[in-house]
This record gives sequence, C-alpha cells and structure tokens, in this order.
Amino acid sequence: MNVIGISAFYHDSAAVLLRDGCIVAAVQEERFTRLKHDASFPFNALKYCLSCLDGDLDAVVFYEKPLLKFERVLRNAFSVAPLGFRAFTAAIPEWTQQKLWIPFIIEKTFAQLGLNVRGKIFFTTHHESHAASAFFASPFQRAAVLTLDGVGEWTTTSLGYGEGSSLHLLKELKYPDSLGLLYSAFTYYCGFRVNSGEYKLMGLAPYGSPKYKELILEELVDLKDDGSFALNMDYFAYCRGQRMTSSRFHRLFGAPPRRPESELTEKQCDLAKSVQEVLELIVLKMAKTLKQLTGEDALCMAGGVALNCVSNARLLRDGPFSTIWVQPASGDAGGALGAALAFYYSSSPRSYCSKDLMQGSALGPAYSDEEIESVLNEMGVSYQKMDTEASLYAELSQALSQEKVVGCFQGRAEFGPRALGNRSILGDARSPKMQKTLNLKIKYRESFRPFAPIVLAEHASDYFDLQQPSPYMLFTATLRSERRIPVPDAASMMETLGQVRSDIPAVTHVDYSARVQTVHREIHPELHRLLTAFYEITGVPVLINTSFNVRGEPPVCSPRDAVLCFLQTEMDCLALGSFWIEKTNISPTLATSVQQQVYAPD
Amino acid sequence: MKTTHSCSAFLHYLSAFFKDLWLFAKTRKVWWMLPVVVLLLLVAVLLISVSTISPFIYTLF
Repeated sequence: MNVIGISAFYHDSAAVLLRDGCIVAAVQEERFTRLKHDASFPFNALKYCLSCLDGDLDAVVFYEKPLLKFERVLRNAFSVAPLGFRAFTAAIPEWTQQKLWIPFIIEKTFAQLGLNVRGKIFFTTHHESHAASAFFASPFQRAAVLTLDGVGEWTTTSLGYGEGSSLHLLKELKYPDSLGLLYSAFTYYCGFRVNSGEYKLMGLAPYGSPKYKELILEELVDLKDDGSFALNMDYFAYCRGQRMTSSRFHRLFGAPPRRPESELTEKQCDLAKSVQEVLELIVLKMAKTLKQLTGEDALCMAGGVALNCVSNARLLRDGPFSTIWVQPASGDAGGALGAALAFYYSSSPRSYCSKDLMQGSALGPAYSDEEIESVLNEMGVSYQKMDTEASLYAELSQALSQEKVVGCFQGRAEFGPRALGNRSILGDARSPKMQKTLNLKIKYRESFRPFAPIVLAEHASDYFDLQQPSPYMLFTATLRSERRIPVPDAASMMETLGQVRSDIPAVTHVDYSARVQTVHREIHPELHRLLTAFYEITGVPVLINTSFNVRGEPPVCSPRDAVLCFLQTEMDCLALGSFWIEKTNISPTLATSVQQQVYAPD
Repeated sequence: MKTTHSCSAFLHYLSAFFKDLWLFAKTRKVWWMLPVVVLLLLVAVLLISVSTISPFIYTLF
C-alpha cells in the first residue's frame, strides 16, 4: 500500500511517501524553494516523493482537519472581538481562498503531476498525526505517547498510549492553554522570531538564572498537580493576533519586548532560564500523570516542544519513564509522516521491529556523482575526485584535524530540522576558537549560540553522561566531570564565551551541557567511518556538527546549494559526494562572482 | 475542454465541501458555522469580483 502524507499552510510544509509501512521518501518544501519554514503547498516535495513511487497510490492524507481548525479560528475571533479584527481580516482571505479548499488543491496538484486521487483524500487531526509520528515510527511495540506543541485544531497537548497498530489519546489540553505558545511568548519577548527563535532561547538559558520562575508560576501559569495548566490570558495577546504578549506582561517584567538584533542583556538570559525551568516542571508533571494513566515504561514524544532537547534530557533523568524516543521531525513537517502512518495502521497490523522507522532520518533527495560532477563543471569549480571512500575520509579527517571547517554533503538529505552528517558543516571540537569562527565567519549567527558534538557511540560514555543513545541529537548530556576545566566566574556573557571549559571546548556550553549526537555504525555508517578516521588521527572521537547553511537559510539540499553556500562563507573545504574541493584551489574571481544570497534573519 | 473539466471538478468539490460542512456542523453541533462560512465565502467572491472590476474603474476615471 502506497500512502502520501502532506503537511502544509502553517509552518513547515512537507510530503512523505510510505510503502507498506516503510518510509520511502520524506522531505520538506523549504529544501527546494530555499525559503526557511516554507508553508506553501509542498509541490516540489510531492514531486520528489512521487518520483520514488512504485505502483499505484492508495491514499493521500492531510495532517489536520481544516474545518475543525476553522471553527477554532472563528470562535477565537468572536471571543476577543472587536479586538483582533485586523488579524482576523488578514487571516480570512487565506481561509476562503486556500485553506478551506485543501482537498481541491490536493486533487488539482496531483492531476498536474499525472495522478487522479479523487476519493483517495483523507484527513487526521493535528495531534493524532504527531502522536502517530512518535509511536508508529518508534522502536516500541507499546509505549506512552506525549505530544506537545503550539496548537493544532484545538489541542495543544495530548497524552495517550500506543499498542501494536492502535493509538489511543486519553487526555488533552486545549487552546489557548499551550506550552508551546507560552515558550513562544517568551521567545518573542526576548526579541527572537516566533517559531524559529525557540532554539535560541533554549541556548540562551544556561547563561541566566531562574529569577522569574516563581513569578511566572504565580502570575502567568496556574499549574495543577497533574501537569494540566491554565494560562492567565491577561498577560498574552496571541488570541488577538499580531503579537504574543500584552502590555500587562511587559509591565510585569518591567520593560517592553527586546528589539530584534539589539544587544542581549542578563535579563533575557534570566527570562530564558526561568521559562525553561517552568517548561521542564510542567513536562515532568505531565509525564508523571501519563505514567499513572498508562503504566508504560517507554515514552514517545512529538510536537514542536519535543525538540527542546534540554527538557527531554531532564525528563529522561528525573521523569518516570526508563526510555524515551523522540520523533526527529517533531515539528509540523513530521505531521506529514504521522498522517500517513496513522492512515496506514488504521487498517494494517504492525509487526515488532527493534529499530525505529527513521533510517537515520536520511529520507530526502540524494545525488549521484555524475550529477554532482556536472554541477561542478558547470559552475567552474576545481575539484579532485577521490577513488575510494577511504581516501575521501582520510582527506576529510586530515583537514578537520588541522582545524579546517569542512562542508559535508553525502547521501540523502535529512528529514527534520537537524543535520545529522549528510548535510553538515563539521569542525574540530578541540579548538578553543572554533565556536566563534563557526558562528561569525561561517554561519553568520549570534555568537552565544552553542554547537552540538557528534561522538562515536562506543566512546560516548568517555565524554558524556548519557542515559541512552541520542542518534538524532534530541537530548542534551553533561560533560563528564573529569573532562571539565574549572573556570572563574565571568563578569559578562561575552567573557563567558571565551572561557575554555573542557578538552572539547567548542562544544561545551557554559553549563557543561551539550546536545549530543551519538554516531552508530548501523544508523549512520558513513559518518561513523569519518569519525573513526578522525579518531585514528587525533585520539578524539568527537567533532562539531552543525547544519550546512547560513543564518536564515534552510539546510542545503542539492549540490548547487552546497557549492553556493561554500563559496559565500569562509568554509575551507567541501566533501561533495566523491569530490573534494578546497577553497584555496578556487579562483578568487569565482568566489567573488557568486552573488551573495541574502536571507532574512531567523 | 480543460476549462470545462476543471470547472466540473470545482463544482464537484464545491458540493463535497458543503456536504462536509453540513456533516461537520451536525456532528459538532456548530450550526452557527454554516451562515458564517457562506457569508465569508460570498464576501471573498465579492472581493475578487471587485478587485477584477477595480482596474476598469481606475481606467475609466
């Protein structure tokens, strides 16, 4: 049975092809259109999925129910009227022209691509999609399921369990009480962009102290023992559209929201730490309730909040579940996968498999050496073709050991927000200057942002206190105490940034935490070979891994995207399929002739 | 021929949409949504018509 899942029109639109319960292809539209978080109908992603289709298409499943969502939009508008009129009138044209006609748009798009899908279009609810993407893609035959995000139709949080091919949602929280929107409100207040700056807030938190935690719990959140909560809507303005926080919120915290791109102060660090701790507290309480309801030992999670790897790690450490699996594409893109899985397992049995379905998240487009070579020739880029994979990895690891920054483009593109080695920029974690170099000269992003380490799974425990493997970079872990270097108290955040805190300083955050990716031979074999080669040279099985893009750009997808990004930044080398490219061999005229792409700051 | 086909496809979907809307309103007891949705769709059609007419008005005056 071939099933296509689609998510579109809100955050990250994506398409997924499922064949007999296995994921054949999954990709986000942004990778093709080069617009970060592109929410338009995923025409290109669909085209790619259909190129992998073998046989007839049995169903197309959309990841949420438009009428149910529209009911929420209307009820919300009536409840706050006349306030919110401008936001409502801005939203309505999209609904009347697009969002209410989703089956028609799907039918028309498939017709353009040569397929008739009339009578084959189905819908799941937003949180069913998240829950299905968490449970059915997990390695568990039975598990508790927790989904947490901003909002779907009405639901913002759901608690349930999965067993075999069935999924049961037992409890839910509804809009406007939303953990995702609470976190986004603070993201907005701290001057970051909602729906993309949440990572920054999470990264900023270790610089601060939880000064405002009690205030948040007293004034903003009415938290119950079972983890359910009600937000005091006097402090939030998102029901009225246009902004997240109200003037009362600003009075409570003593200032208007920080202007984007202005200097960060201790206050934003403290706010970030405070809301992070509140989030962790709520998630822990919910998990305890879920454990009581289901009695399961394993937990699966999805939804945008499940990408908060600090909270995931805390839940694993202090929560009631012995093991946790988080869907790597936990945001709305993963909803496309969940929709397809929910539909498939509504009529098919699920056999036990000890591995998850995600195939290391390498589910997107791949390019042959012939295709890559033709792009390089067309762009006039000098390259060296490596005869064997071993010689490529030898060159790569040698360059990395000399503190060079290397772009790594291999195999299929990753599905989800994390680059896990196939579309990555790699660097030497031992270098004290690498974090600054990568942030300011390669990624062009804020200097406080930490980088994630990749570590050979078999050596992970030599470096990090990890409770379970983390192949998808979804859990933080603290650096082992013997590797830490004590540092004096720094006066400012900038001073903190320069401090060497361990023997892998480039990936050690100020609180000695790191968002670890454990590299397993069976999940990411190529990356494992590369890390092994680096380990053989340096004796250190750790590298920096960050997504292959600059600030505001989606991770690269095609060889052309990779070469353009390489030429526009101060990256030193590029491993593109079997081809090795060094910046020093590129003619300066080529590098300067490439038009600098300008991306809106995220 | 193509226009006729897409027109009939649209009419097919229009009827399917109102059927879905009716069933949705009945299941969730949200009858109030029927007139609201119809009204909003009419306004949308009107706005599209007005935006089509506008250039003529601009040209005329």
